[in-house]
Amino acid sequence: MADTPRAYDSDLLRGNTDSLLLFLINERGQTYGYRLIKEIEERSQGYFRFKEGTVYPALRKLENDGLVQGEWKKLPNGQERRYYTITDRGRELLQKKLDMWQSFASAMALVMKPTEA
Amino acid sequence: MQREVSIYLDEVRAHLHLDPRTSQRVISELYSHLEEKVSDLAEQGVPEPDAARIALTSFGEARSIARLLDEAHGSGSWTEALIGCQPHLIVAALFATHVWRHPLLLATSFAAIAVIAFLGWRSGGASWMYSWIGYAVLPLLVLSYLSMDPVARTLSFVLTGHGAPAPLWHLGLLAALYAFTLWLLVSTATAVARRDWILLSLMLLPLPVMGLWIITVTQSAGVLVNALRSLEARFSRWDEAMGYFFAVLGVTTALFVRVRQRALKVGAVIAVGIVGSAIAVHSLWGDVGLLPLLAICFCLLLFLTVPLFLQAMLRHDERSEEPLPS
Repeated sequence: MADTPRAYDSDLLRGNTDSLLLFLINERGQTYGYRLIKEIEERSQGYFRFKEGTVYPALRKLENDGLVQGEWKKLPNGQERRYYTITDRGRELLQKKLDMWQSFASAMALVMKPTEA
Repeated sequence: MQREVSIYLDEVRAHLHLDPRTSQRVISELYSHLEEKVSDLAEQGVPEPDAARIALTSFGEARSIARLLDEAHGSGSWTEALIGCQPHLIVAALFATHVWRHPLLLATSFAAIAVIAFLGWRSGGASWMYSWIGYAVLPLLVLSYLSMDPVARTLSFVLTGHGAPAPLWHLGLLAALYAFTLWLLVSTATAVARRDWILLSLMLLPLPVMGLWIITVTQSAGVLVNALRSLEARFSRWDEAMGYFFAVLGVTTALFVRVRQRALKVGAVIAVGIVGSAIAVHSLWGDVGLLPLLAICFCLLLFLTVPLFLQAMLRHDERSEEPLPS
């Protein structure tokens, strides 16, 4: 599944993983690693696929940078799961990244538009 | 599912270099993910052995996930970096200002270092504390070295019949000191190596040069006590070089705490440990010649990499002993 050829440069995804995670955590309010992976795959209709284990180092970095906050919660079956919520700092950064992304995408579309002969 | 996942998580754990509590938490989170994935696949009709295999394949190779997790956890803040380099800077200042010759200030400085190291150890193992621990065990090692004379005299009396042995109570006290020092050193080194060998190398980093300096001073002065009592300039002629060396160790420690990449951490400790110590040896002993200098460098390399073998031995013993999260 993870070995299927991708139509994008993996560096491009790597550079935007933080934005994807922050966006989804912000939207969900509170979510966890496995749910995040599934949601990215579902929303991108299978376009974004990466090694699932890499989401945890990415979440840890966001946590170390004070952008998200992790918290262990006990499930009804007695097991524990780590849930993540976005912090105010994370929300600010997300807004900046969204603005930057929209400006970038608009500029790319303008430049890439074929000129009329 | 249990067996494949258990083997996989054991492998991740074996390559993690985190404190035991954090390591257990990380493994719990990965286990929770894999369990849910296998359960989802089973619901889709995938047989359990295949589900575990697919879940593990899509999760990523154990060693590279462990490396990424290490990097994610491995970087301390600037505050931690600043705290981590302090004991080196304190020792550098003791040399730069020649204050090391004042017993009270020297004792106060090392007592403060020992207290902070102890508090750091009890607080759970932040990366800044390892440099403090290295200096915390140093006074006991120095005391053990300086008190060897009565033991040597007694040994000489037993073997040759010449001279006078030290009193029995004196030897008893020294035996207790040696036993305590050895116990402290071995138990601390074992605990640190179990987490990460490079942290033990970082902890041991100042010891070779400090040891060589003490040997040089005691050989020059007869015993260190004479040097401490004396304000003669000849005992201060190495102070500048020693001050620079420990200042460099301070900067190296700060970088060690800050950088994420493990290769950079290892490279910084080994390079500064060998090159810095070799320069310090040159300052202490003058031009010793190329071959002896290379031999010293080789010994330093061995000294700094012994923790790697100690860790491999310890981890081999404890592998699979830790329980999986329930």
